[in-house]
Amino acid sequence: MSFRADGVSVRIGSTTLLDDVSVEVRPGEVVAVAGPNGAGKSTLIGVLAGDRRPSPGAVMLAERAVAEWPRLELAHRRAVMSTDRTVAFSFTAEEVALMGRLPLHGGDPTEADRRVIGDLLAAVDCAHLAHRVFATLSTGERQRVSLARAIAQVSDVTGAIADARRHADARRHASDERYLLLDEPTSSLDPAHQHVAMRLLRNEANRGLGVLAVLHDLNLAAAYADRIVLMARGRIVASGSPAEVLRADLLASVFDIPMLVIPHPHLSHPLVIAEPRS
Amino acid sequence: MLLVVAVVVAMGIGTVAIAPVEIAAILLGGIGLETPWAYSEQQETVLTAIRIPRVLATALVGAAWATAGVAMQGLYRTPLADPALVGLGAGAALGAALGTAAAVALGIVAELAGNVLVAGAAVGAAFAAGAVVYRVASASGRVMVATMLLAGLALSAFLVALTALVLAAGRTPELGSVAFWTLGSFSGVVGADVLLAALVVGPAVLVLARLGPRLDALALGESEAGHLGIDVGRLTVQVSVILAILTGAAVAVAGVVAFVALMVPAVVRAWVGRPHRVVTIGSAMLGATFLVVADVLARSLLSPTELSIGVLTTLLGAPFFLWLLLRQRGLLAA
Repeated sequence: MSFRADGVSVRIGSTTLLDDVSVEVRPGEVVAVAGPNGAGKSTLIGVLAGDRRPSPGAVMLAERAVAEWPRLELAHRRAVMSTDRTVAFSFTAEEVALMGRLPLHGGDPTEADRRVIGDLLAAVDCAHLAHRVFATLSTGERQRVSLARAIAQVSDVTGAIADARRHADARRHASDERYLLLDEPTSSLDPAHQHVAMRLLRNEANRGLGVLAVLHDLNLAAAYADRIVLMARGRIVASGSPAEVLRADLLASVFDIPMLVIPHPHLSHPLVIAEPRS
Repeated sequence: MLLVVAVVVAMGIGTVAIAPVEIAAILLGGIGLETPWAYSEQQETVLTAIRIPRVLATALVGAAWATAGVAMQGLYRTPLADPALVGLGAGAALGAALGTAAAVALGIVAELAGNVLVAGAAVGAAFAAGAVVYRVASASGRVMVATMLLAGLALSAFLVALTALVLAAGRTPELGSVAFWTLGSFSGVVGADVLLAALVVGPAVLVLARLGPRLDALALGESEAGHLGIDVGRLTVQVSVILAILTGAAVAVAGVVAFVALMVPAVVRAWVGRPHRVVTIGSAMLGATFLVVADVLARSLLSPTELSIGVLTTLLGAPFFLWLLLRQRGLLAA
């Protein structure tokens, strides 16, 4: 049981965006992908999502190549939160979040779907924004609603399955492994909401979801991820537990800035601080 | 409800006035029911031969333009798309003019086969024009609204000029005038037009409504819709075909009537809701009502002179478009 990229490479002309990258995320796991700008993190998300075809290399979900999954079945198994926050027309936040359930209801959301959306909007602290027009929300608020939409696609499916109107396929695969790919899900959030979002992802993973998230904040990755994949210039330079990957010398060379790594004063993971050059 | 009232009132207004009760009496008399209300033979002839076909055609064309607007706006993810303005209407008009010329040459003009030929040519040409605009305005999963408007503008001007050329070269009154094709008119509508339009517009609207939830997801972006399990390429083709059918059918009956496709869906979105299924059905209703009312005004405002229907819709719609542009300015610049 896993969702993985096996030796994937992506080249555009003579530029290499990804060079022989292999990553794996299993149900119940939070994997953080970190690295400087241009390291290939978003390209990796694109490859895993099936938007970009690697060559060479393969992306496998439950031992079946992503390119061979029927679209709808793939949508039942994995959701993607990209960095695009534009939604045309004056859809409300609730309507946008409800679109995440489309693969499950096919156009007629049930009470169960609405309940899941209500719970998720509350979980990302957006219950009060449900009836606001999505396009008029702040960047951070839109990011939280988009997070709720992405989670809704692959979460709380079992609760809704009792409903006889469920899509037959969704019912059949109710107990199957599901994954969530996120490209910088916390980039516009204030500190409190960064932790709200990460705690929610951690809880979803604890309930069986496989989560792979691109994160710039190494301390968020240290606090919530089981493993950190560190990328630079299209390659993976380190992969392992936060304690294994967050080493001052390694981070300094990857990010090209001195890094202070100390034990967190009252938590069990390391604390990372970039130090200005003197 | 509003639509029924508008239709009944519209059937009664004109040089020969017919009251709602007289309309009821004529219709019931037609199926053999006696009513206490008296009506003249002239009223009966005017109603059945002229008013009924005209009002029904107007309602169908209004519904067709309004839902064509919904389709195109859904496809381009912007409320600023009007197929009548960005080349599809002009393409359909050219197709219809060529189809008419072919029907004249084949001697089947004003026959059902001729009507089918004209409508088919209009739909085909609308699809071709739509494909050109889409090709120019879309790149790697994104559609550029400003490019769509500009490309549509140029294509529209080109196709109108080409239509004028065809009409001048054709030298037959059956081809209609440039003013008819570019401003629209319901004055020559006959029963066969209504039948043909109804057979085409009804199913197209229903299919579009069925695609509604997928168009909602498309509002998130093409790759986001793909992540939700939607075959975006297929959806694009389906919506483009429906768009061409609705535009072509509307133009074949009454020429290009601009701005209905722009105004009606915007009003429905603000009034009833955003989901495309609701917007499609609501726009069909409101579009029909709106054009029936506009046609009554077109033939009664300067009576006995009849205005082109497009003159009225443009006088209303162009300022509305500018207002929409003003509201969307921030989004366009982005």
